[in-house]
Amino acid sequence: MKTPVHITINGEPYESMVENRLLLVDFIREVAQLTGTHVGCSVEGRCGVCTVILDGKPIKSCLMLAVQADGSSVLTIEGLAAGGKLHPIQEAFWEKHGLQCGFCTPGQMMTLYGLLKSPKRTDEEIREAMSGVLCPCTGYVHIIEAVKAAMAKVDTMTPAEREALFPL
Amino acid sequence: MYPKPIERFFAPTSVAETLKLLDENRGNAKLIAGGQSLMPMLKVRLLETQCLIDLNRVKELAEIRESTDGLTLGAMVRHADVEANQFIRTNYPILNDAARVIGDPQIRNRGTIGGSLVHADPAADYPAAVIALDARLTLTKSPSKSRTLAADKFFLSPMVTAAAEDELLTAIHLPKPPPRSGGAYVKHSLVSGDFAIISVAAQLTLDSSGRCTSARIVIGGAASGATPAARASALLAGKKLDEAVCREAGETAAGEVEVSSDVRASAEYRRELIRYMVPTMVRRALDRAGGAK
Repeated sequence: MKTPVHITINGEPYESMVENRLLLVDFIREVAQLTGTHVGCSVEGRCGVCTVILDGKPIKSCLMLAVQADGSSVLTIEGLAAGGKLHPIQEAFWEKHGLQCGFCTPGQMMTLYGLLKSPKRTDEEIREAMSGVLCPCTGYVHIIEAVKAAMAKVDTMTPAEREALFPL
Repeated sequence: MYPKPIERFFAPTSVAETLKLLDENRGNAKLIAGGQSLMPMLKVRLLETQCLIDLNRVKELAEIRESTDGLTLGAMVRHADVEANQFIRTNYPILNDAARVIGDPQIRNRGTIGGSLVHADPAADYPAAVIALDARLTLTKSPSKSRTLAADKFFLSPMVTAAAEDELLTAIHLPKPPPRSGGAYVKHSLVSGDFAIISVAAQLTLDSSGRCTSARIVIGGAASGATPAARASALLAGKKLDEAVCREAGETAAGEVEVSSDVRASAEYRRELIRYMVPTMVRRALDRAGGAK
């Protein structure tokens, strides 16, 4: 009923014997004790606040078991800032006030991380890309502004600078 | 909400190993593909399983292969891969249309075409699309024993397919469309990423004069799941698809496909959607087949 699981989160290895039914989000929150990844709807993954980057792609960590992620690399909100400096995504949310209560913000930021790695850019594509995380507070206008501000920051960077910002 | 305890978990790396595990745990095992529907069902305990067999490490099921007679998709090809595939976008636009509107980007990064087809939600996007494309599905029982059946014979009723307990859906074959073919798919839902209240898939082939030689219209979200609108499809064959013909196809489809009322919409609302959406999709398919030129 228990299985050994090894997951690298934000570059750090975590290993534990876990129940087969343990959700990935709870491995992150309880085994790795990284509680920046939130649990919202907890059922069908509609709210998206548990979004993390798994092997390079945003996924909902409540719709996956920890045992399925054995051997994988995960990036969570705690892994965005590096060397005491906010990630451009975080700076953009700060500058454009892309949050109110902040509960969905980790999910919004990790989804944006996925978007910034891809070439999608039109307003419609931004909205579609961000459609997997619900924000009951903001009405999304400031979130979209933050997304555009983050894109503008990343677009002016050299390929090497960009690569350093997207380790996964 | 949490799944009930799962006694055994396996992550095989080949189809042969998967089939062996499925046989050894017959009656007690569930296969998990992308898990975007299965995980919620396990959490709310609509389902429970003693044994979970994870298909995510079976690389041979994740391939997209072009061939002279069409395209073969492994069951573990993810929605995001279908969405991004240029060959699919060009040759099977109906499938691209469907993949793009499933759930949201996170769900499309995990969810798979095989998982969606086997789950057979009556309001899912892929069933109508693969029926309209005349897809053939391969079900494998052992490395030497498999069968292939037409997509419209695969879906028996909502959430029920022709796949037996010891069979694995391994591949989806799409025949190569004849020249001057085009298709389109759209769904109507009230919230972005939701299941369809009604969806419409239309696949057409034209002759050199622009006349329709064959048509296949399929309605998703119908009472018994994705349902071919046979009379509406037959009505298009042999005709120039002008406005009157498109409208008549919509009326016919609305009259022939059985729809029901539920929490999402009334039957009459669904019929009205079919009336409106069928002509729109026929025109879009016509355009993509080069018929508007």
